[in-house]
Amino acid sequence: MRRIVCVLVLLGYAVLTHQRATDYQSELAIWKSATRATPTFRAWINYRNALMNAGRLDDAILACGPLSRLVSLKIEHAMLSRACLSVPP
Amino acid sequence: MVWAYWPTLSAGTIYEDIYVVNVKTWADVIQGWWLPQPTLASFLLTPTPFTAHLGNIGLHGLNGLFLWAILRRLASPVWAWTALTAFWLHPIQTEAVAYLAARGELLVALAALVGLSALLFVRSALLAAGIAVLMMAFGLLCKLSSGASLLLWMPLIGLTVGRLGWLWAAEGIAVLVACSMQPHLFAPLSWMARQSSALWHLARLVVYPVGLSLETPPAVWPWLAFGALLLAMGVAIHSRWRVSALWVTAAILPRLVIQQPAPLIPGPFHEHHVYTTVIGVCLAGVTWPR
Repeated sequence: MRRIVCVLVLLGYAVLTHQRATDYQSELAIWKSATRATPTFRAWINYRNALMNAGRLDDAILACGPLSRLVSLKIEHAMLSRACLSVPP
Repeated sequence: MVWAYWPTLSAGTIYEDIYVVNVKTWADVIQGWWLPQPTLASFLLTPTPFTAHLGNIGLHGLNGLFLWAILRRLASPVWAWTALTAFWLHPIQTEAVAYLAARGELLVALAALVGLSALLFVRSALLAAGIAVLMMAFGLLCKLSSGASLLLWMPLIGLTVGRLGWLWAAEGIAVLVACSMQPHLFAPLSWMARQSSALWHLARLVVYPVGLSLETPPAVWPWLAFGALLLAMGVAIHSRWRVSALWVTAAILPRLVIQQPAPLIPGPFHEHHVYTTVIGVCLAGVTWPR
């Protein structure tokens, strides 16, 4: 029973790896994947840049929506960090 | 394994892959200064994306075989084969193989594994030590920041201390030292230690899920996290609980099974730093001294 579970887990790993490998085929693929799994400022800005480089300007403009929300969050985070560290402005 | 990484063979270059593939002048070689060997090799051999990706898959395969040989010598065949398969196929390894700029990680791992193999299989102690030192130098040339990777020092640790299991204690000390360093004073060294230490990555597993960051030491809670982690390891080791590579990766690293384990490792092009961590886990899991 344990061997069967082991084999199934390893097969699952292989499938996930195969799927993950497709994300590294291009800049667009990797950053698109990043915006889904890790929607950070870095992921969205690089996704936007990849869209612009690919000539997809309309999609790049759409990507600015989430990006502008993240920029606001980043400013708030920076202000909070400085308050916590008591660093004079 | 080849099927798992098949999509990478049709991939182009992304992000910092130009330092491994598109190196045409000496200025390009200098620009990729933190990857001396891969950049120089690219300048001399002028690989295409296809041959470079094939090279990465080959290196990953070779690393697995060396790891298997070491584990086969130190543990049972079942664990050796299980660890080999998990090492080859775990999705966290994808970036190290698919991302060409991670060639340095693959080569550092190879250097460490060849050095370890020399310790185990070469009869002449002097020759084994010579090979281990040579491999360490090669590893440093492959990626400058690997100097803080204790996996690369393992052969020498094994030679001087005599027990490979002391890796965990050494890793813990290295990470505590890194934590105590103020980033603005010792930024390069603390950055290297943070990026390369296996224990650092494991500690991130503890604190990241609760939304905390380990990027700005010193603070109280990283010390608590490390203390808790070392205590847990001490209890496990003292009770002689042997953990196979498969159960370590499946239980302690569950978030790494899913795509892009946020916020464990923030986004792409950081996951390849875990490559040597996985080797460290495989080795520590089955080679702690009885």
